[in-house]
Amino acid sequence: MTRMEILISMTLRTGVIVSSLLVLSGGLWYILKHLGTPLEVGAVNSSGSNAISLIKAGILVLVFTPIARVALSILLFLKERDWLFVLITLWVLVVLLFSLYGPW
Amino acid sequence: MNDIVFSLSVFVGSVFAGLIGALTGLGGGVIVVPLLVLLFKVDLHHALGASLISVIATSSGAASAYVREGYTNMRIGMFLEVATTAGAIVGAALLGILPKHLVAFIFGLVLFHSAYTSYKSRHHEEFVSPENSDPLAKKLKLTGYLPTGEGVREYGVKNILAGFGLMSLAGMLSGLLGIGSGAVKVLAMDRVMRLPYKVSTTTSNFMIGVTAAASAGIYLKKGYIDPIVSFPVMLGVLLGAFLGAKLLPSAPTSKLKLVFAIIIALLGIQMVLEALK
Repeated sequence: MTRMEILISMTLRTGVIVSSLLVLSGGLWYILKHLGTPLEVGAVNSSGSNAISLIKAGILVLVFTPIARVALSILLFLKERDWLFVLITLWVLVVLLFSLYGPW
Repeated sequence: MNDIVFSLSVFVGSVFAGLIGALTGLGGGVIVVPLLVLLFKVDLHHALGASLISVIATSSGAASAYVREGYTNMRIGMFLEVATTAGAIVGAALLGILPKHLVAFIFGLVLFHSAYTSYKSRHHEEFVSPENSDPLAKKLKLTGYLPTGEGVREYGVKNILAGFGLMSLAGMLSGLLGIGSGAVKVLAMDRVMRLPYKVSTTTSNFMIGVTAAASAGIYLKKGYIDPIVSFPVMLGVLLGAFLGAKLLPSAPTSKLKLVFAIIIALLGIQMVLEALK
């Protein structure tokens, strides 16, 4: 196993674990609140919205996980002085960020 | 109560989607979309949004294992991501210029043909030896090592430029048709570049997360990624992807090819129906 393989695998795993913990706690919170206080609309909404924010945060972490993987690989190729692959991964990151924050 | 039943059933279906997605390199989307639309009556936009989340989850979840175990060829994956991302831009630009129905129809036929040839060749696997590699492979250091039943084996790569071209097409198709295009990725690496089958599927799995993340921006902005639909999908798919990654090392290639053939045939039907709508 190379250092790069270990670091990239760890990045992916960390992203996946953090995002699923956020989504899991938000999801359980949403379901429990929804069950316990079906008639108190205000209460459901305020706690529901907190739960939903947790889920949304988790989804964002998940979306940024492959992006973090690309960003990390640029650094790793830089360290290896593998200039062609620095360019390759840099291109991928630029296109990714462009399509993420693009003109829509 | 309905919320719990919905979340639990979607969760269970998504475990299956993640499992199949991780084993075939196609991502969970192929199963998540029909599951949500046909079974749970979720509208198509929100189903596509959840499918995008499922693809990123399958990709990242399974790749964390595949990379560590040495199945994924990361250099090939990153090299080909240049083609898929460039293709996706072209595909998005061609939206409205190329007749979408015709493209979907042709793509559907290609998938039927590929399903048939994958099925027929499922018992046949031959590694390209590193000496017989495309000369570009040495320059780019694209050959690799793969764990097999008989120990670690070195493999080579063929037709890198043709594979690169097909990958741009894969990117275009995903930009144009809104599908993950994992099928084209696996086919390009398996058939054209002659990579070992498990390298092709795990490297495709590695790449599709990036393709999906690129489309996530527009989906998030339009509100198509619904938290209530996405949360059981994401958690289920992740569990399935981890299970799939556990199963892959001991799974026989012929069985994996069979599952792949069935899934891309279903995808072909989906495409042709879409075209005839």
